[in-house]
Amino acid sequence: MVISAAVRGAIAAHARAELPNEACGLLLLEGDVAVEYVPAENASPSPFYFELRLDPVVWAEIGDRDVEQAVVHSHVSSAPRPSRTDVERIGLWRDQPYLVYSVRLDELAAWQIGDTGFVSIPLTRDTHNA
Amino acid sequence: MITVRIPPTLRAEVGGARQVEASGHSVRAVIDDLVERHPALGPQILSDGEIAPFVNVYLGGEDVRTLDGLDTRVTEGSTVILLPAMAGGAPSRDEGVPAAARAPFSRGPVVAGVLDLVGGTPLVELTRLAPKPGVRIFAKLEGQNPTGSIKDRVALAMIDAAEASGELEPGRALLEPTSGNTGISLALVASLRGYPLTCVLPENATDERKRLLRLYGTELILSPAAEGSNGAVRLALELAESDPRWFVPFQYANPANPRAHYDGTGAEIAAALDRVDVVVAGLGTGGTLMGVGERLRESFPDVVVAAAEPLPGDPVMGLRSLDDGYVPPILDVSRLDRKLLVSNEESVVAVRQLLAAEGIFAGVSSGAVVHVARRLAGELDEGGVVVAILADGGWKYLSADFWESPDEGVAESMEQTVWW
Repeated sequence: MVISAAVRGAIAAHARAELPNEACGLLLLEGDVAVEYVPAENASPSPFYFELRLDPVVWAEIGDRDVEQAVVHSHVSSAPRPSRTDVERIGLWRDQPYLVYSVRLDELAAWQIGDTGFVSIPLTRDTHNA
Repeated sequence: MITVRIPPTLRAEVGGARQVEASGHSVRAVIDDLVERHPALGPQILSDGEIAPFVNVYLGGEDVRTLDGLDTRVTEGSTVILLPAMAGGAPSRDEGVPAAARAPFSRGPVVAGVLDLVGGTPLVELTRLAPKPGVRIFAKLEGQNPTGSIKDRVALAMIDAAEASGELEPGRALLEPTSGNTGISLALVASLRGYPLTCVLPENATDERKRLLRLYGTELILSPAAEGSNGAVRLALELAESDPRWFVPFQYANPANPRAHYDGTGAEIAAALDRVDVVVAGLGTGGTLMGVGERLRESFPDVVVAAAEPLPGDPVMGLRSLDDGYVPPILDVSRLDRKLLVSNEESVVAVRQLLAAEGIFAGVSSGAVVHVARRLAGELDEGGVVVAILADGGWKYLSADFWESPDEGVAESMEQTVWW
């Protein structure tokens, strides 16, 4: 997955703004290139939980665009790795790209969560669109 | 017709369409028709005839769960939007998390009865008592259960298990040795489920406990003070042997006890935290340590399960020294990674600190747990997380002298009473 500094910066800024709680949002992808971060509301504001809430009409319209969607959320202090909760709650997002940003470590990582666990998706900085 | 907008994650089930049509005058009818037209959608959006937990259904921009659910009326020409609920959000009921945390919106819980409020207790960070920066201690406040202690989980689980197995018939009399919290929790469950309860407790148990048990309608049989909790156990087992009408849940040997902590307390902690290095609980029946420990090892294989144990002959209220002669059958000592001895005095100092520094009014066994939690937190590197399970609130101990007595007089002031 390729991500620009601007998109990465938007994820990090949202995560810091939501402290002490977790932040969440959608990353929009054209192929494997991240083109936009859409911040969402954490409907269960907590340092340990997130529950992504976005205006359903807006979300449905995003679904009509020719972009893939990936969920992004922050971990306040722990590593940017899916927690057991994340794996257990993956639901319909199984096998989709899934990103976690650690605020304390300032690290972003991408994953794909399946039925038996999760695998890392390599992240590359887009140096042409920094 | 009704337009149903399909999210990308479900489009494979409808041949790639972004929206499809269905008919019906309620959300349930529309979804039934939708599933009939596109059968592959069924297992994705329905679970036991209800909306699946990982799907949100919106009508007019409103989540139908906040309206009338599947009975919400739909008018011709409306648009129903299906969206994938996001992972990491509301945990499932199986994990013992309360309705407030499960619901797709933030409201206080509305429940059918007080037993629905058992479990789902909060974790509170002890920011002022953490011994070094970068290491966090979270206290699980079991005093928030309906009768004020962790034993509500155990009592409810034991009665549920006995009812399910058929061992406990309607109206049968219950007998339990206890000098405190378990009796009060059983008294609550028994009174609501219609079982007469008799508790055997040491005659020097605190007045608050005796009075509360009586208020719940419990009969009391007093055992000799000098024999402590073990005397109550002995007498209760003798009574049960001589009279088969009694059903004795017997928390010390009942597998529903650790199971309540595996399914509830431990699962809640695993769902709430991304990392747990150490979990500390008091050593009583062993149920908390066994159940929570087993569940947390599944999520955090390297977690250290630590017991706060009273010094032999110096029993911290609520805790049990293994050297005092009784090892509960549900306790497998080999499953404890650490066992740290705590004196009455250390426990009281810690429980006072908990009140003064963090504003948490807890029982004295919680002081022992916090004492151990702070010590083990001091051994962790930056980023470490310790969970301290605080078994009860301080209310049932309010008449005790130790709250105000000088630190050096604490041990003497505690000798005359059995606390658990």
